[in-house]
Amino acid sequence: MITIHNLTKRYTGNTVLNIDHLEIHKGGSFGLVGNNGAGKTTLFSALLDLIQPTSGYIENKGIKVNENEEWKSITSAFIDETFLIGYLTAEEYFYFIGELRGQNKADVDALLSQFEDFFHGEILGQKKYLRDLSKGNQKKAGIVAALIGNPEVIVLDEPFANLDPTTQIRLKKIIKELSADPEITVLVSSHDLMHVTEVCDRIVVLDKGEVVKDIARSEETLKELEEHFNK
Amino acid sequence: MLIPISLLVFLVIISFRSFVKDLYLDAGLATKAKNVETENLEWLNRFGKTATFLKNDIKLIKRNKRARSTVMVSVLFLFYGLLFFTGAVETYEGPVWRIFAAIFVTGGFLLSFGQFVPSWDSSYYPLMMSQNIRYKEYLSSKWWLMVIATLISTVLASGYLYYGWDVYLAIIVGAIYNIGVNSHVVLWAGAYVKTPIDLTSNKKAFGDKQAFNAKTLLLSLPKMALPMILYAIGHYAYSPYAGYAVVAVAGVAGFAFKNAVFSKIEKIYRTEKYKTIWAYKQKK
Repeated sequence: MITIHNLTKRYTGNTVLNIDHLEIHKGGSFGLVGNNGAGKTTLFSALLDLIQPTSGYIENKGIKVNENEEWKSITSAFIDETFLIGYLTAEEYFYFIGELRGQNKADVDALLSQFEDFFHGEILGQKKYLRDLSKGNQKKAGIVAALIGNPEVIVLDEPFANLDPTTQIRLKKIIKELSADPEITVLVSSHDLMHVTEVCDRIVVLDKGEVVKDIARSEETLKELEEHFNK
Repeated sequence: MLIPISLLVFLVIISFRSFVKDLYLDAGLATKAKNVETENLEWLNRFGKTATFLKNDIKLIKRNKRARSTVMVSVLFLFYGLLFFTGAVETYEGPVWRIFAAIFVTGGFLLSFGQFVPSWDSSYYPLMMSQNIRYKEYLSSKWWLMVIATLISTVLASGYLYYGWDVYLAIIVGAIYNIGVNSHVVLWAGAYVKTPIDLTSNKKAFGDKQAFNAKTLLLSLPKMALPMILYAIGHYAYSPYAGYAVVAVAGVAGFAFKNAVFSKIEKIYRTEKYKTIWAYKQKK
């Protein structure tokens, strides 16, 4: 689904990303872990064509993301608060994203109804603009908005951060359900090794922009990761 | 002197109120789109996407102080013409200044809002850049917004009829030029402006280096000077009406090049994209 070719990104002499080759297959969930500054967000930004790689390129469903915009109709993401429109209510925001992705109000409503648990009554019908919601609630809105319009590739950067434990558990269930669909590829980054090992069937560890571990999830994964980060 | 001014103020307030009431109801837009549905589906599809952004832009203006101030600027500029047409300022009495005034009277919103496209969307620019959005649709929504505002200003400016048909004719010609040429110039120049806008604060709306610096003033020269020169050519070569005709023709010609200009702006947007995203990330 996604292929990375000789991708590097340098900022004033500092190499922040350097990946020779990485292939992410269709279906399943892909987890990206690493310490701060390991290049997780940089990689996702490059995948979304928000930054220009110093060299190399990324293909999404065979489309070079920096040359052709066709990937946008099958890809959706929630990276940070710059993916939210602060002066809209949650409903307005969902319908806006829906309209961009060719979904009418009924389609969006049907999708939203599946996330009542996840929203916990704190998102819909709030009569509040998104900018006035708490960080956690903003995140919930952003994550669900990224699921509108049947995307084939879903990119979530640090989705567990700022969420309360109950919501984290519900989010894990959502991600597991999504990745059970063979048509959907989920990409998740996290600082939390437990969450990632629980929801992802493949985990890549980034360190200073390079892939240092690439493992298929097994019983041993969490232990292996903990040992790696405890060095 | 007092009567015409108070009459104009009265007229502006009345019509402004009614337009605000009509314009800001999203329901009005929605029903409009629905009515069209039965006629021609393909056209609706295109209009539909533009309407999506248009609805958002109206919310942007309604709900954010900084954006609201552009509406205030356009109201202020409506009255700017009084300095010219009443003869209040002597240096403004030359015939060429009429076009200058007309550009301002009808283009207040266009100039103040347009110069910060796409900065208005700076706080969620990465969303716009990764969502399923075509640049043309995004641009055309901003263009429509400016055109609608210019048309409304032109109608509101009908108070200037008090000073004679000739004055209002100048205003209409100014509006045509604004729609045909200045709307493009403003979007074009805006593609290079990379100042993030903090929507919630109003502090920097007036007299701030972001809003009125030498560069933006320089960029506004072709918007002002060119129509004045065009008018002067027609005026001094033949007659005042020839001057108006030259400016109006320039406006219509600009309108005809809309697609070409949009493609050009789209290209600039694309080449500037990474720099723009980076610049918007730098917090004030």
